[in-house]
This record gives sequence, C-alpha cells and structure tokens, in this order.
Amino acid sequence: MNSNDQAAKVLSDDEFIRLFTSTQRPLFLHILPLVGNGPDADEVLQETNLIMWAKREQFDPGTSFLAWGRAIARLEVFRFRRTRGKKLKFLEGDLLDRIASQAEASSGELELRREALAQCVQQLQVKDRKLILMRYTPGTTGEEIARRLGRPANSVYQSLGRIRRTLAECIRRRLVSGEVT
Amino acid sequence: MTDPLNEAAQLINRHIEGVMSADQQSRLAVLMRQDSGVVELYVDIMQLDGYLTWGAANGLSESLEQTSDSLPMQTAVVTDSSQDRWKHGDVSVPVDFRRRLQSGKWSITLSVVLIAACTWGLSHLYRSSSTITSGSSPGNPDVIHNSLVTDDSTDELPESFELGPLQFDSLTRSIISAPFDSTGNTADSPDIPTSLFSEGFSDEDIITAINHQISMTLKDNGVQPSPRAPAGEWARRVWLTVAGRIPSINEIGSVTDGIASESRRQLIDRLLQNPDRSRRLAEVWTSLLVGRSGHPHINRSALMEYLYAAFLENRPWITIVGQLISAEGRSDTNGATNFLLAHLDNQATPATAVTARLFLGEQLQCVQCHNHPFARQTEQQDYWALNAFFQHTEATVHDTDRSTRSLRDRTFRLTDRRAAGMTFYETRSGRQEAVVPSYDGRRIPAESRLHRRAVLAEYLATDSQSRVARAMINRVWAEFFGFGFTSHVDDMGPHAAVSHPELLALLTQAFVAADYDLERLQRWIALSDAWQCTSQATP
Repeated sequence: MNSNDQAAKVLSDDEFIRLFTSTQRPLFLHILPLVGNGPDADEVLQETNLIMWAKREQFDPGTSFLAWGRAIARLEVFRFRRTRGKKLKFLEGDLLDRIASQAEASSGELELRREALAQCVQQLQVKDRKLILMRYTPGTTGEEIARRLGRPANSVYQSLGRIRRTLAECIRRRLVSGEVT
Repeated sequence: MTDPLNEAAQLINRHIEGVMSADQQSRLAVLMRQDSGVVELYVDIMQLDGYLTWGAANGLSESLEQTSDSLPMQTAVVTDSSQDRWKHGDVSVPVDFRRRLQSGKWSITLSVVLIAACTWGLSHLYRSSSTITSGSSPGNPDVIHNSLVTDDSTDELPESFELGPLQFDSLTRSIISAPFDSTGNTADSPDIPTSLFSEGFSDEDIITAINHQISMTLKDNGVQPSPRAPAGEWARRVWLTVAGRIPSINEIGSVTDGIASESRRQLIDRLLQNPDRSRRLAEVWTSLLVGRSGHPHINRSALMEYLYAAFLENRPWITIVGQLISAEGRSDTNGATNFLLAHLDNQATPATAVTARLFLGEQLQCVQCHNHPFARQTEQQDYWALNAFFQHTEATVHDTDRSTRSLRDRTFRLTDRRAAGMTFYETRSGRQEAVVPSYDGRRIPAESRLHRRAVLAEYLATDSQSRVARAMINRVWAEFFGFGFTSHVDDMGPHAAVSHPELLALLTQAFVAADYDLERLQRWIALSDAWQCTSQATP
C-alpha cells in the first residue's frame, strides 16, 4: 500500500535476516510462557516467522524489531489458542495479558539471565546439577529419570520443582544485585 | 499455610512435566490472580525451561558448566573469554542450521584427524610410559610439565581431603619394597598396611604416586618421555576417552584460546560431570556384559538404563558389580537382571566365565574342563566352586507375557532358589566330583539356603586380593592408554606378567580405599604426567 514512498525506509533482505535471526530466541522465550510448552511455542514461532517475512515491508526500521515481532507473535498465540492450543486454565483472558507483560518486562535482560543461569546451575549441589542436566538431555522426561533412578516419579518431580525454583530465585537475586560477571 | 510461591512452583513444575490435572490448573490460575509474584515465577520458570531445553540441544550444558567452573578465583582474562563464548553461543542463527554447520563439515574432518591422532598417540604413549624416564631433567622442553600439577593443586575438589599426615613417599617406598617376583606372581597384593589409606588422601597424593612409579620405570630404562601435549591435543584426547566423542567447536574453543582459560584439572572435572561420560560407560559396559547382539530375549535398554543411572550417580563399582551378580526381579524393571539372563544357559557356565573375565580379570573358561596347564594355582575345582554360586539361579517368563508374544517382547523374571545342595562336575578322567560354592578361601556349606549370589557379591567386596578393583583398574587404564598392565586386559591370572606391578598394586589399594570411586580413578589417570605427554615420539 505505502511501499512506494517508503522504499528508502525498507530494510534490505540482509538486514532483515540479521535482525530476524537475532530475535528468534527472545521471541521463543516470549511465546513459551504464553502457550505453555516448547513444541507449541515452536509452532507458534514458525507461524510468526512466516507472517514477519510476508509483512517485512511493513516494519519501520526506526522502531524495535523485537517489539514488532512480539506484536505479531501475540496475534499468533491467540490464533493458535483458538484453533489447536491446549486449553490451559491458567492461560486465559486476563492472566494471558499479565503473563505477556511480565514476559515483556524480562525481555530486555535475556542475555543477563542466561549468564546468571549458567552461574546458578554451577552453584547447585552436584546431585541437583546432575539431575537437572539429566532432565534436559534431549528426549529425556521426568518419568524416565524416575525409572532410571528407581525413585517414585513424584519424588523426582518434586526435586525438579525445587531445583527449578532455586534456579529462578538465584537468577533473580543475581540480577538484582548486579552480580552477573 | 503453605507458601503460595512454593505451591505454585510445584504446580508449574507438574505442568512442565506434563502431569498436571485440571484441578491443579485451576489452582494455579487462582494463585496467579492472587499474587503477581506467582505470574512472575511462572514466567521465570518457563523461560528457565526454555533456556535449558534450547541450550541442551545446542550443547549449552557444556558451556553452562564451563563458564562457572572458572568462576571462583578467576582472572579477568578468563571471565572475558567465557563471556565472549556466551555471546558467541547466543548468535541466534536457527539452531538446526548451526548444528548442521557444526556436525556437517567440521566434525567429520575433526573426527578423522582425531581418531588418527589418538589411536596412534595412545599406543605410542603406552610404549613410552612403560619404559620412559622421569621427565624433569634440566633443559628439557618439558618444564611446563610440572606446572600442571602445581597450578591445579590450588583448585578445590570436593572429593579431595586435606593432605594428611600420610607421607606418600613412604607409602610408595613401602610398596616398592614389598615382595614381588619377576612375573608378578601371587605376591600381587603386597603387604601394604591399609591403614595408610585410612587417613584420607587427596587426588594429588595418588597422582604424585603414579608419576613417581612411572618415572622410576622410565629412569630404569633410560627413556626420555615425550613433552607435554599441547592443550588442544590433550583436550581432544580427554573428550574422546571420557565422553566418547569429540568436543563441539564451542566446547573445544575454551582450551585452545589459551592454556590459561581452563586448566586440565577443570576440564577433566567438567567432563566427569558430563552426562555423556556416564552414557559412554553405560554403552561400553552393556556391550561387555551382554555382547552386541545374540540375546534377543534380554532387555538391553533396561540394562543400559540401569548402568547409566549407576554411573551418573557414581555408584561405587563394587556395588554395581554386586548388584549385577545378585540381581533378582523383572528384566524390564530391574535392568541389572539382564546380565545374568544373557548367560544362564548350559549350567550357568557362561555366567561363571563372564563374571570371572569381566569382574575378576581372569580367564577361567578353559579350567571348566581341565586344570590350568601352567597356572598351577588355577584348578578345575575353583571354576566349579565359583559356578556353584550361580547354580540356583532361575529365569522364568513373567506371567503376563507367557502366551502369544515373541521371545523378544517377553519379560523375564530372575530368581534364586535359595536351596541347599552341592554342584557336580566331571574331571578329565571321568570321575564325578562335588563342590560347594567357594571363593577366596570362603565357602557356603552345602546345606545352606542362602541367596548364594548375594553371598558371592559379599565375598567379592571383601576379597583378600581385591580382584574386582584390580581388574577394573586394568580396564580403565587400558581405556586411557590403549594398553593395560597385562597383555590381555581381562587375563590377569597368576601366569600373566604385569608391566608395572607396584603401580597396579598402589592403584588397587587406593581404589579400594576410595570406595571404588570411578570418577576419582578416571581423574587420577587423566591427570597423571604420563597421560599429559604428546603423541609425538621423542627422537
């Protein structure tokens, strides 16, 4: 529609791809809490990517690429929920909004969070660290770990829950105190 | 009552694990509406899950460990480089593209080079290590050699104890002066008072002792060891040996950037915690225990999972051996049962032979039928006395699987009859003989109704010769150097010549005293001077 007079302000494909690739992870992490699981988040991200590519001429280079992507992702999340998404009771209406703004708030410090996570993982007790790394070995579920370790699944879940919370708090502490080196 | 954040954390966690009920969903929604801290926690934990999931697929767990391994007592340089690595790792080129890039061209080239370098290097290393001299003559390019140990000795290892009153020199001396005959005959377990080890000893103590032993042999033979391997060469070698694979480009980057960025001690410690190390051990031992194929009825993956879990938690080796030997129960739920399920046919003679070969380092299968031709101590009777422990073992098809399913799909149950009785065998002259289960001078009376395999496990754990430890050390040493202390890694019987009897005895004692700690054993060998040598031959 307005592509002719704005031609100078349209990104070259190279620039677009550079911005595009650099926002994949932040977008994924934004979508993840909104749909509740990785595979769905992947799917929504793919849909979002297609739209972003199709509408690339509408992006105003003077604005934030990530914010633009987030807006598109938001619409895709709604569409996904309408069509196929699992109906999770804590991902509805007002809560979805609050989760989205919370996720947005943390998006500026993703890199710091990642560094903090690395340090926090290291601070875990050896047993906990092994358990969490084991859990995140591709293709491993909590249930499988329980079977392997001969522990009841619920006790493994509880350990994982405790470790995840410890990590989340450790990250927050580090961000607040600026301790990330 | 309960902390809402705590409750929320457990609910979020159940959600991630995919085991959340509808009620729990509603409950989480309520908590979120009541407390904005819960929303925050939810986002935090979900993103954490995202990082870890994404990261693990991309080798992040390696860099995760790496970054903070270098956290305490850090130089600015190291911190910077690890941050760079982070940024590098974060370039958000789509994951699978990056992976293709890495695994495609690079790893193929790398692995070819590596395999060539390492196989050649290791065999050379062994040759040098079995004959070489102490490395630190003046003017030797090997000066940095000792800096490894010195640098690293400041690192704190959770497993190491304070250097106690234990004097390693005197320990080594007492071992050296212990009686050995030239063939390393029965005196194989020299008279070292075990109390020497009871004081607690650090990894450095053992590494120093290994170095001392090797350097003496080298000196005796007038051989100059190869210089220290460059960081990159060593890193590839240790990755292949311990984790069973080459490092990714990111993983190896830290070492070649500069030697200072990560000490060898830090690298080996990081690798020992890497799940790939446990996976590799599990794979190797699954193949050793049941072979690669040919037992369609056993549940190979259950055995593998059992071993993986055991190595992951660094269960003492003697415990693992005991569990494999005395296992009972279903082949799917107790993976350890599959070892014996694979070897029970034919009066459990395969079980006897494999147990002796893998866990005791002795080839007994020939004495099944006759006394050993030149190892006078090994008698046919000993074989059957060992076999007698396995005689009451039974495998039955688990009830629910009895009917239609193919052998491959069946679940078996391994049990022990707990019955009395003797075991009979026939000598070459055709005479019938009877034995009771006995090992290392101890026996179970014929009328006993004990679980005999469990008793055997107990006997092995208290073996006067610590054969299980000795055999394992030989295997691990061979895994690292390409050669064990004996020409066949699983034939350490009285007739076998031992290349470094004192060293083998020392490691055996230390391994037992360290409660069969496999991680520590691997660390001792990996950090020994001999294993630091380059694969380049000295002129």
